[in-house]
Amino acid sequence: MAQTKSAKVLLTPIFANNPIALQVLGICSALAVTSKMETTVVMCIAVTLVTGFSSLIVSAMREYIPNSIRIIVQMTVIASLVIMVDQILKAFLPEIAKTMSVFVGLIITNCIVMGRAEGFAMKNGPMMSFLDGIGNGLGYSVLLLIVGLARESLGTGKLFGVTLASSVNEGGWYVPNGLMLLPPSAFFLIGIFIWVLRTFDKSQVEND
Amino acid sequence: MFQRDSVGGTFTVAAILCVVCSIIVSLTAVGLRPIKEENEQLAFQREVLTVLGLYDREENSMEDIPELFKQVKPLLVNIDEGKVAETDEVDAETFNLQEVSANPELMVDIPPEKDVAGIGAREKFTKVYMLTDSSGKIDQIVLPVRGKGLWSTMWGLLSLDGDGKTVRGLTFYADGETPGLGGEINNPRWKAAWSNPECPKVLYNEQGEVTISMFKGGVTCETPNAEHRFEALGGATITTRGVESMMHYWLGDHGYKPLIKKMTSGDLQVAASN
Repeated sequence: MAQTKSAKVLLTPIFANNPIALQVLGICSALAVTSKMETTVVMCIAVTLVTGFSSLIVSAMREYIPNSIRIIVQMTVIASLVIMVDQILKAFLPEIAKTMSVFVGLIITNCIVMGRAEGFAMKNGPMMSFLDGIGNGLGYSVLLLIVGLARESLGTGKLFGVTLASSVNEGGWYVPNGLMLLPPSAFFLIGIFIWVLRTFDKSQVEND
Repeated sequence: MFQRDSVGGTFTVAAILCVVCSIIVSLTAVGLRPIKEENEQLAFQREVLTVLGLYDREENSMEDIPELFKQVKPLLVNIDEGKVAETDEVDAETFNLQEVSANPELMVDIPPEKDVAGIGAREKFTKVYMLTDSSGKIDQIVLPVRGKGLWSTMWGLLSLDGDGKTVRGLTFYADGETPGLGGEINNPRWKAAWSNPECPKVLYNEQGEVTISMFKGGVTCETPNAEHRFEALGGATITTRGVESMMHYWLGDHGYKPLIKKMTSGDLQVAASN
């Protein structure tokens, strides 16, 4: 019983209750970092870890958090974790960190992290909260990876920087779709993802 | 007993949380600093190698840098005197231009009428990088340059041929110009004109005056005066002018001209091979 519950907490956010597709949270970074798979993967790992650990910490100290300052306490925990992630990226992956620039720091304002801390971790035990955080991070990652996959392959003919179809600029045959490299394309892709998801899972369709 | 929602409890929790979080954050930052500094150094060395034409982003990776950099001869110079610096004010090993430029004691004010690049002061000593051929003759010299663009100071490296007037490369390693307009100073296609062996650009004229002009609408080898002309960046008049003024200042009398003269007369070569 306990095991099925943890599995449920971990897995439902991936498709059934996807933070971007259903809750429509954390859109901004989904637009900003998905033009290349490399940055997308790093961003996914960063967000998943931050969401997991911030939920764990907030949940562990939930009995001690005064109600009047609970949001700022959650924010402080999240901000500290994000700074750590940012520093680690700058030290070990300087090239990628440079292209991601402010967007690592902006994980602080990613509504998914805050939303899970306030919405789940304040009411549940540390272990469950950790799984919930990781699950939501994975839900975010699935969507980002799909968007990134489409944007890099259609926009440049490459994947992880490896040429799949050599583009016209490099003397090949593939005419890259320039729109895919611009942020608005992520909106279209997320829209299509939500559409497909709701076609298969009618329960996600909102009533007018 | 701990009263969570009382005023005292609130302050206690807030205080403990702040202290714990700040300790964790500072420990991370301090602990990782050596690695970050090493990365910055490698990134700078890569810029030097790029402007020398020894590093290709497609072919080389960060791991190749220390090996490639062994060919390069760094040299601490006194800009005013145009010769090797004899000083203990700065250490040649740890020299960092950004740090030096923040220290007024190591800077000299530029007279306003000479300050075409708009930087106010310049360092007394700087580190230049040289590449010598097999006979020990200077093939290229990399000079740090900088100047105001539209929004920011553009920090760059200029590589001159051993003849002291032909450009072999230009790169900018820090700038805050508008992406897509002034930011195109880092576009490889634009930079290619600064290191094109088929139509080399010369920055001094016959009289030894700095001669450079930015030309709108494309410059080919057949353009009259092509050796002094560069293509202006579309939509980035002020950035382009900034690059032009930067060259005027740094290659002028108050800049590297004394050093370049020493180099062409052969005096610097001796120092470099020592």
